[in-house]
Order: sequence, then structure tokens, then C-alpha cells
Amino acid sequence: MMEHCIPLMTREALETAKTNRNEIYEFIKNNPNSSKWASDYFGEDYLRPSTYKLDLSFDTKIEDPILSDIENSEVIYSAFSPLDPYLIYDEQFLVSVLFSIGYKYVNKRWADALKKPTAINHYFFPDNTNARRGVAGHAIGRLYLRAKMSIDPSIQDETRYSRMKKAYSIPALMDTLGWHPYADNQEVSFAFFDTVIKWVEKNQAFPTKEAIRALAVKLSMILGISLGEFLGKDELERRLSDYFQICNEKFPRVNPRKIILEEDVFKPADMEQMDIFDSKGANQQ
Amino acid sequence: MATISKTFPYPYLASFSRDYKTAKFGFSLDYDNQEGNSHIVLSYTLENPNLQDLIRKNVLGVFTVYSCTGTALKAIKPFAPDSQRLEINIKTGEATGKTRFTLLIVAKEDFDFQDGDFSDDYQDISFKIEKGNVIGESDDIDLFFNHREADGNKRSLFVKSIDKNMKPEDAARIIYRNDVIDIAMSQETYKAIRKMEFDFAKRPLIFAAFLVPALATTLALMNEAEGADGSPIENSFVNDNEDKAWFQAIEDILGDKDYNPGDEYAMAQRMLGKPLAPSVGWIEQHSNSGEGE
Repeated sequence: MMEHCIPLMTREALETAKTNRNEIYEFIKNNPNSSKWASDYFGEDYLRPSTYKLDLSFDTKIEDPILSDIENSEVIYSAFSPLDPYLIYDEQFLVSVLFSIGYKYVNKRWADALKKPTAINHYFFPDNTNARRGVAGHAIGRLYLRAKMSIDPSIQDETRYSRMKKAYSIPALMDTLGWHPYADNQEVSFAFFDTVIKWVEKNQAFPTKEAIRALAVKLSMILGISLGEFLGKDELERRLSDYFQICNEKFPRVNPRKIILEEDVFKPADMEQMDIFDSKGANQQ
Repeated sequence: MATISKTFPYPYLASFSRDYKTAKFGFSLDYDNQEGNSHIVLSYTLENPNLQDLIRKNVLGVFTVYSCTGTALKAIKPFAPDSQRLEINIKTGEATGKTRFTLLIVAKEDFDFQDGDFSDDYQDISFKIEKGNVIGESDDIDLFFNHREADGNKRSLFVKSIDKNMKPEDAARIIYRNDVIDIAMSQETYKAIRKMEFDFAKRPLIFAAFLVPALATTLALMNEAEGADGSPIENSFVNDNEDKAWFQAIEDILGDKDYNPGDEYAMAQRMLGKPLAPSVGWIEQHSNSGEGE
């Protein structure tokens, strides 16, 4: 990795970009590999030197979006963790990191989503009326937030990433929890992740997104009248686990694919295993 | 604070609730800055002997929950069972913008709950409370922190931006962003102003022509008028913007100074260093020199 001194986009360039989103979108669409157009558009001095140094480079190959997200989340988490939180949640900082280092990565990772002009509203320019929501949607910010929700900072070896890798590889799990402010507390987010992960490990199948969303509603109900941080992870997980079994009975996967765990990532098993599994049905395991 | 629901399956002590006849729960907050860190002292009052007793017995606990919308900081801290005072420190950079403090009364164990102060609807009914249930909350108190110095400079109140849809003859317009007051203008006007900014002597002209009117307009919109009975009249501009950084910055500048409705233009001039006189001086000097050439 390379240590970059992050230049900061001027506030005026940022506001100009936000005022002229349609035009900016056209530049981005026509120049997915380089942000050099921005110097012509905003003026040569739109990026100004700063003292912020980040040990950071992105995986831009993106052969597998899940593996890419995992790798880039690890990188962003390591790079951002020493920074003050106010900086990480600052739209000027996030947009600057994107334009100076992450531009090519974001265009490649979110190529499909960016076919819609409105996508730049959150992937490129975070919603600054709500800092957390802005970071949750931003193409760089979400990598940090999802890592923060799932990495146990008290663990120093590679196993600290285990929960994050599993959570990323379960469809709809990160997307569901990533938007919820209550996930900022790790007692709460770990309880939610571990409830789903343990169900997946036990049943060797992915739950439906409806089941995961129903679990999120249950969590909201618990936290609506209780202080989750006081209850703690184990108690929350106990209250969620039984309910998640009910969720999966109510929203079963029609054609479940058997999955296996490889290097902390859940992957579809081979075809032979899948056929055996399908003949039994997910809920009869 | 949207920490908790507004409907509970048991009597709930809060200013918006009528579940108790007389009980009250509130707190005060003292704040000072120590070596860049924020030192905060919270003191609560609880007017209900039964709840006080349950707190002393550690069946209930009082917690503060504080959260910052600018950094997604959310933390809880418990009060000791025998103390109504709690000190907390927030490190510089952990919070920026609005940080909201709320106190909650939380069950530390399962128990059956009755209280002679319950409203008549709940008299003589026992409620099953589960560990973790919140049974009361205070009103919120907000603090505002300003650590937003990402560009290494003191944050500006105003910025100018280009609106590519605007022509040079179009009027510039004010956009109230989250952090700053943005004066959007055509690209041509923007470029001309940027050129002027490099000449130090011309800067008062920009202040006088653009910023003073924009600030005066904003001050007028911020004015919270009073009704005939002396109570403030609802001001939707204030409601929509009071959490924003520029609004807080203006309030900080105004401080305890008297706000005189109708005097916003003069106030804006004073806040921006009275740029009209040097502007006129510059124009006069250069128009005279032009005449002499």
C-alpha cells in the first residue's frame, strides 16, 4: 500500500459540484478512469494540500464484488481508524478521498448503479443533512461503516475480520443493517450479525431478505422500549434468535442453495451437493 | 431524542406522558472545555419516592444517553445508585455539531411494578417489567461542538458556488446548506469574483456587494418575533435551520448582543467588519484616478 497525503477539495468546489449534479454526472460517466476533468471544471486549485496522510489504495479489479468489498473495507478501516470521527463523517473529506484515490474504484464497483444519474447523490456526494446516513450511502464511507459495525477492535489478529467476512457474504445482511443508526453500537450490531450468521451455519442456507428485514423490525421493537447497550450482546442475541427461526419459517427460501464456509466467506456449494440439498428442502435440514 | 418509542406497555414517566399524577424527572447540564476536551457534569432530579427507592436498591438505574448527529457518536453512561451527579468527558473530535443528552430510567432486573402515583387508569395494576426496559425519560438538552476544521482553516460562514444553469445577468441566490451559506451564481460572475479576491484591496467590495446583503437577509429570517403575550411566534426558518453549523456560528458571533429587529443591515455590516466605507473609498480613489488619466 502507499501512503497518500490526501488533498482536500475546496468547499466551493464541493458546493459547485452539488449545485450542478447533472453536469458532474456527465463528466463522471464519460471519464470513469480519471478525475482529471475536475481540474478544468472546478479550477486548477480545487484540491488543496492537507496534513492528512492515509495508507490507502483500493482493489480496483473487482472480479467478485463481495470479495472486493471485504478487501476494501479492511483497507479503509485500517486507514480511517486512527482519524478523529468528525473527519470521517465530514462530506468534504469523504468526497476528497473519492476524487483523489477512490475515483476509479468507485466507478468500477458501482458501474451498474451509476447508470442512473441520481446515484451520484449518495455514492459520490453524501447526504450531509444526516452525517450517518450520508456515510452509510457513500461509496467510500459505507466500506468504513460496515467494517466498524462488524470488526471487534479488541481482537488483534486476523480473526477480527471473521464476522465482517461472513456478514458481507450473506445477501441483504449488510444492506439491511448498514442503514440503521442502532448498528453504531457494537453490542447491538454484533448480536444482530451473530444471530443471522449462526442460523446460516446451522442451516447451511441463506435466509431471504424478508426474513432479515423482519429481524431488523424485531430489533427496532426491542430497542423501542429497552436500552440495548445495557442488555448487552448475549441477551439481545437470545431475544433475537428464537424470533429469527420464526422469520425463516414465515419467509422460507423457495429454492435454497446449499452453502459452505471457506476462509470465513459463505459460498455456494458444488452442484452435486446443491441437488441433494434441494431435494430435501432448506427447512427440513 | 428518538432513543425510544412513545408508546409503552406500562406507565411511562416523561414530560409528554400523563401516566403519573405528580412524578417529575429532569436534569441540568454544566459544560466547560478542558485542554480541548469537553467536560460535562449532569445532575438529575427525580420527584417520586418509589422510583428513588428502586434506584437505591439497584432495581432501576439512571443512564445518560448522548449522541451526535455529526459523527454518529452514541454512548451511554450510568449514574451510581447513590449519586444524582455524573461527570463525563468527550474527547475533541469525537463529536461535532449537535450533541443531544437524554437521561433514562432503566430496569436492571425483571420485576413487578406498581406505584401509588400512577394515573387513575393504572391504579392497583401491577406491570411486568423486563430487564432493559426504559420506564422513564427526561427532556433533552443539546450541546453544539464545532470541530469541523477539515480544511485546516477556520470554517467560513459563506461560500460561493457556480450554478451552470445561471447566466451572468441572473440574480445570485442564497442556498442554506448544512455547513455554510452558499451564494450561487453564474460561472462568469464567479470567475470575476475569484479574480477580485486575489487583490486584497478589492475584498471589501465583495463583502459589501454580496455578503452583507446575504447576511442581513439571513439575520432577518432568524428573528424570532414575539406575539402580543410575549411568547415567541413559531418561525419555520429557525425550526428548519437551527441545527446547522452556520446558524450556530451566527448565534455564537451574536452572543449576548442585543438583537434589534429592523436593524439587520447594520448588524450584518458590523459582523463583517464594516466593509462599506473601504469599498466606497476604493471606488472613489479608482474613479478619480480614472478621470485624471
